[in-house]
Amino acid sequence: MQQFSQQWGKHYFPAHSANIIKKGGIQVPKNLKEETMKIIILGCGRVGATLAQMMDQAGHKVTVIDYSNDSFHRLDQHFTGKTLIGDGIDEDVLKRAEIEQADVFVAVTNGDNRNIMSSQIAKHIFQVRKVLCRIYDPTRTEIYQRLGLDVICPTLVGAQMFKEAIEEGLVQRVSGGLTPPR
Amino acid sequence: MYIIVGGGGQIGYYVTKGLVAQGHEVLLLDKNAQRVQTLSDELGLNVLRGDACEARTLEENGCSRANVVIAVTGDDEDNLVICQLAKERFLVKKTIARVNNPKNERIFAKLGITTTVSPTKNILRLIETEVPHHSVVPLMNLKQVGLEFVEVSVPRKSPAIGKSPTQISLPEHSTIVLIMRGTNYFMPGNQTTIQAEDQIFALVKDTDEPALRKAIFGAENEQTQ
Repeated sequence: MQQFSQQWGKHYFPAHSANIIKKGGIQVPKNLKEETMKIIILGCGRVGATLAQMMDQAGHKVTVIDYSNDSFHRLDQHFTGKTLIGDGIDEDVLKRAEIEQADVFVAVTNGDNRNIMSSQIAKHIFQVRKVLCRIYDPTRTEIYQRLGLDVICPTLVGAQMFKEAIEEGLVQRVSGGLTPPR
Repeated sequence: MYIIVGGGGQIGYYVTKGLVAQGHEVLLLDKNAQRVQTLSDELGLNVLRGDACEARTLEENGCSRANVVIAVTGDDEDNLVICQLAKERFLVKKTIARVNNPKNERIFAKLGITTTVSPTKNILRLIETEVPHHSVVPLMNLKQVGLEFVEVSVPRKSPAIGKSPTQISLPEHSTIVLIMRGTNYFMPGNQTTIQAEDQIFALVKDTDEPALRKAIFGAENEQTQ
């Protein structure tokens, strides 16, 4: 399990997060000017809100879009980024979120198709450098990965982690038993 | 032909009904069990419950032998995915998508779905044709070449009045094709001059509409009635 999350962690967490230093309790990136990214997060559910706060704390410029005002309650009062109510597949809404200046776009609404469409708009219409898309359906994941989207499929990731946890548990039980390792 | 229709709303229902009447083999898919029940009463075996956005549903229903896939749900993102799945996964040659937000027509085209129908845009267009005011009315969109066939009526104070079609400064790729005056019509030649209340039919590049507007309505009162 550990191995697996490390592998994903390496891939999906910005390398510079290691450069962040603590300053009077507030985390400030070493070189704010060079390393601040403008990040748009579509969907303020549990994942969207958590990610928004993580990126905000890391010193990035974060804008969260959701079609319901209620969802923004998930953000705590320390969140300094922007929130925007609107439909994430509407070009005008994305422009209002200043997608033209965005470095990263993350689509984590609870609709696979909504994530797929908005990611494609971000990638192909607005040429956002890094676009990440959540797709629950493994089949659609495979198809859109082939079409060039960077997809994270929580179904596959979750199942894989469970599988590894089970296998790890088995190994521990066996090695802790009659037959010692080596 | 074998045609799969995704989305059993009003449009899906009437499209299916029409295609069945034309003798095609049609399958209408809808997610909602209750809706499917209602539709089955009328359309019988042509309706099945299933999510057309799921590759498995499409596969089980022989999508790879479908000649056409039509996506007419109420959500643009679902229609996009249905058409992309059909094209990419099942190599369906012809897909048609309904777009609700007219702006998505351009986005769909960029994402590989070139045949789209926008009810919203059609209604807006009808209003423009039926309610006369001085504006450029799009009649037909020739998407492949990026041209639009438009109609303009010349207002009384138009800077174009008294000039021949070749004298007014039109954008480079625009051509006046026909001038209609009452019950008469003229092919634009050097002798023809434009008069007030003429109906002008022109081919313009879809990005050049503002320039045509300026040539016919003048710079200052572009939008005035």
